[in-house]
Amino acid sequence: MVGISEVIQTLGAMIIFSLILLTANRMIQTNTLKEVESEAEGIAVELAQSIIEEAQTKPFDAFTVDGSIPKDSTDFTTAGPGSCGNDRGCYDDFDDYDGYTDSFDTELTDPGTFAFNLSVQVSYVSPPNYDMASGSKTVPTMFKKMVVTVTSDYLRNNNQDIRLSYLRRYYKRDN
Amino acid sequence: MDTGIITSFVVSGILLLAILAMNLNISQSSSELTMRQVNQQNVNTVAELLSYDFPKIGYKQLSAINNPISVATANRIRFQADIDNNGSAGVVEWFYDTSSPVNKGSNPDDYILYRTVDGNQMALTFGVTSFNLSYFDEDRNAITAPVSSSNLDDIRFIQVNLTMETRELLGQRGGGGEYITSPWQKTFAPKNLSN
Repeated sequence: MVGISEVIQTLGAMIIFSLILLTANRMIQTNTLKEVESEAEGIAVELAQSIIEEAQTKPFDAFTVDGSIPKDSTDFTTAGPGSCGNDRGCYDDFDDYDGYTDSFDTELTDPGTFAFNLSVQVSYVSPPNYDMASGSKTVPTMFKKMVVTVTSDYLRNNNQDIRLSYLRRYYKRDN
Repeated sequence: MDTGIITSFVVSGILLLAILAMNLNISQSSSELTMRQVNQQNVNTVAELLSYDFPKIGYKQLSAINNPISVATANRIRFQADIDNNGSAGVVEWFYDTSSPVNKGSNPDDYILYRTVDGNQMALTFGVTSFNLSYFDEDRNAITAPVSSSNLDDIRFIQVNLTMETRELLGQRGGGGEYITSPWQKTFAPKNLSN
């Protein structure tokens, strides 16, 4: 009877240990996921920033590409890539990036998996909130807002996407 | 001896082995986490330097620099920029020297990345195992590196691919191991190269 009691005690210890082991394993797994996710976040931010920085070098609107100065915002054109479609090399002004999508391979993932997906939205927005929801593609203002969204399975732990926005204003000196 | 006691000895032996394995796992995970954090910190340090220098290509306070890029290859770029914003253009060079291995640690693949500003050279020996520069014109067509002098003015975008690894191997049970790798990639669009 003494032997059986010791076996029961040992089994009890095993059950307790199993619970500890499960917790420890969960902790290790969480750590690993967080490591990968933080690297993926860094990559996603850089991808989004690259697009924003590239768009910053382009003129504000198709109307200003040749250096023309608008009399007011009504001279500006509808936001969108026009005939360029998704051909980023063809874009020559800031709002051409509207609707642009791309997928990227990175060093973090296996080649050919294109694990990072990027999409861009550009709209005319208005003060005081400058929010995209009340923005418009067709009603020009002096403000354009770009929102770059990067999604990836590597960012899914918290169902999280990386979203960067950039507000651009057209400056014109009044005479 | 009682069968029950023998059984409990066996079970507790298994339990001890499991505890040992768990300790090893936690220790391994902790080492990996620490090494990855250190590596990520190193990547951030180099990335900050790159992000400080590259957007300023061709920039000069109150004026512009014509033809700021003088050398553009896959592992070297030399350009002029008013890096200190003091009104005078300096010469900045980034060079990944694959003939200069870093003699710290056991990683055989890391080489020295040099950042030189007006002749003052800084050797980055954090474990850079890959540093690749790609160049694009305004239509985002790739310009083959090394870029010939007649095409240097066409450069509008510069893509930097950087990979850094830990100096030491993260050992694994059963021998062997791996170096922790952290990639970084960014395409710069220096404003002063726009037109």
